[in-house]
Amino acid sequence: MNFGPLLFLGLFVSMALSWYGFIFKGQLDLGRQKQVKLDDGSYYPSNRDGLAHQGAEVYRANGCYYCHSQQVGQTGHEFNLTLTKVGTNTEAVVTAILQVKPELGKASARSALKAKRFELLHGVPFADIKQAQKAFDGLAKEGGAELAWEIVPLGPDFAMGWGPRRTVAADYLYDNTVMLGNQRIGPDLANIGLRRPDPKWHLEHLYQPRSKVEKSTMPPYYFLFERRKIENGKTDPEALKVEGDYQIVPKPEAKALVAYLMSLKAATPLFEAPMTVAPKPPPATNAAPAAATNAPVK
Amino acid sequence: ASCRVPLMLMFFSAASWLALSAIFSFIASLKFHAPEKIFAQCSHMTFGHVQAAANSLLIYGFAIQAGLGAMLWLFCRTGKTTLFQPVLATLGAIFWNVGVTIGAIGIFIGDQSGFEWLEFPKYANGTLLVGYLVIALVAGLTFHDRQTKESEPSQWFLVGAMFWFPWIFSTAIMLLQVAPVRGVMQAVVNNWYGANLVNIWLAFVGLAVVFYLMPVQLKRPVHNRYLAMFAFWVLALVGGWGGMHATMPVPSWLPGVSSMMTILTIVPVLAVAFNLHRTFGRDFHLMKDDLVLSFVIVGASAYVIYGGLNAATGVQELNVVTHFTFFSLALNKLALYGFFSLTLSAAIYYIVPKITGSEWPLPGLVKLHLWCGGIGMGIYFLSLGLAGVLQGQRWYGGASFMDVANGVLRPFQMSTFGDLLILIGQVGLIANLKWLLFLRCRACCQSFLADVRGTKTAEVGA
Repeated sequence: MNFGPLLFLGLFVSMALSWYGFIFKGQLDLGRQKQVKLDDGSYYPSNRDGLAHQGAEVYRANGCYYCHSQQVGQTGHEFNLTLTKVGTNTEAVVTAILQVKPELGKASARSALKAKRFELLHGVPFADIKQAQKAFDGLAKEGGAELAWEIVPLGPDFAMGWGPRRTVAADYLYDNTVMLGNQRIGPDLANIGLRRPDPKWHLEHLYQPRSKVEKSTMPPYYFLFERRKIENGKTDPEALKVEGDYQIVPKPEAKALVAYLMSLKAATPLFEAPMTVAPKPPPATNAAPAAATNAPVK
Repeated sequence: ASCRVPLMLMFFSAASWLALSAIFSFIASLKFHAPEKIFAQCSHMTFGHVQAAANSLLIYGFAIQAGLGAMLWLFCRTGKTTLFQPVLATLGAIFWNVGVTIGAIGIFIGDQSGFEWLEFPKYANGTLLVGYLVIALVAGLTFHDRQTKESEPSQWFLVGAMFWFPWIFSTAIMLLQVAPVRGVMQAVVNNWYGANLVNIWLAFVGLAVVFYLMPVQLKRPVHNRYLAMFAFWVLALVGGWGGMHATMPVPSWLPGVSSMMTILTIVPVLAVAFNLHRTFGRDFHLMKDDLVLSFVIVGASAYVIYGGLNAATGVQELNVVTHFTFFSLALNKLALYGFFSLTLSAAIYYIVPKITGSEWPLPGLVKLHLWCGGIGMGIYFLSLGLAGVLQGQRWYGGASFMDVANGVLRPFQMSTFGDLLILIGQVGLIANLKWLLFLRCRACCQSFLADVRGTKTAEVGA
């Protein structure tokens, strides 16, 4: 029997399976994603400005994605529950607190009410949060008691402060070349626009990484800068530094790259990546503190 | 003998690109130790260019080209036929090399695509695809011309590889460069392409060479043909699903399916390992004199180690520790160099004497290649792998990023030394090939000149 056609058919089917599963189905699932409308009426993600797009090209052309990733991942999440407002019915609140945390004892529960914010539960699954909220339903809630819960994403990425939430598909919608990166020889850049918002730091870092980070293995990008002679004793206002008669001025490529880095942010709460912001510390006035919500980060 | 011109062109070019890639890889590795000194002033030699060039030249310059050369020769041998239209194959090889050249130049002038495994710009990739299709056509028609009724494991693997690559390559070029898909789908296509390239194409071609050379050198058949068939089909089914790592910003069914299938790849790897182990037995003494066999054994062992570790990284709990670390770099190099390059070097060392009719002029260099390559790979993989595991563990332990980066510098230095050894090994291969060609050319010219002089004296004499 001529095994040739049979072999070819078998291979075709095997090949087609992964193509169907990942490429075809993937495209149906992911490839037609559109911007999402947020609560305040704006759309997410918004397009980067032109200079940032040029910067993305500089990023690509210099192979920055070999050392830097642009994705924040979580290994799980947990929740905290805080009592933000006691309200008028303090006895009901104390009963509720003791229901949630019986080990506290009446005395400490009472003294907890004096604090402006009291953390009831820390690092628990959401089911516990719901149960605790139920304890406050009824008299405590009628008295005006308010609870707020927040999501805490877990994982080494968050321990290193690389972002307030994990990155999701929506964050990359306006990237012409999505450069997620596969290595973290350098730190993750998904939220670098938030972590280091100073463009001057980035320019100095690009020119000579070891001037900013000791023992950095990042190559210096001297060629993105121009070593120009100072004329008429006037230095360029954009000059990075002065070396004798010469000044180091960033070229358009350097400025574009920094604009791109400044635009790298993934900190808007989304349906698939919710984010809560811890309430601000109590103000000096007697005004009621704002409850924690899913409001966008200011 | 019909294969001589296209194959010598392909093997010689492949070995040259391999040596060049090793030089770039070594330079890239060196840059870590003194980033402000090594080629710092030259904008074209920035790390991003050098690393991209090293990767692409290893895959496209060497791996696929040498693999195609071996494919053509193996189809001739296993099918007991001659190569179909060698001129076409030569033309395809020329196209391929032109593509690699303009791709490499493209990387250095800043046109790299931004996708790992597919760094060449659009114009180079198009040329490569044309070249591949021409060679695949020749391969397909040679296979069609086969005179044997029974099939061999090598043939199945090679038919698979022959037709798989244009599909994944054209899909990747279309969906990433010609009409890019939206958003993070690009990363999905990129990773799918990379996984198929390494776990299917390179594995298939490498295993085809192993399954041909090992029985031939040992003068006994593969231990269990049906086990080989089983391994082949399972690998074809599950091998193409890898590539999506655990915390990727995509719907979680993608990494979920990917991790499950990656774990399943342990099955064909073990089947291959068992089969080869039984075929080889305990005849280590044979390796002493037979360098081709030694290359094959080292390469096949590297495949088993790679396959096992790759399947392990499918487990999501392990994946979150090893992804983004040097460990994945080390694993890739093990597959590309430790397995594929050494196995195809075995093929080159076996095939070239057969098609040119002359033995290797510098057999010492073959030994040098084996030892330097094998030991270099071992040092590289162990040190970089260790560095990666340390990185992952320390990140999980909550250490700061720079502390971890500084902490793994020592093992990384060891890996640079490993890279150097690998480079020396490659130089051995290319030097041998160059010298062989030079001797052949000189012999040919001398006999031609002798003929001319002979006819002249004959005319004068008469």
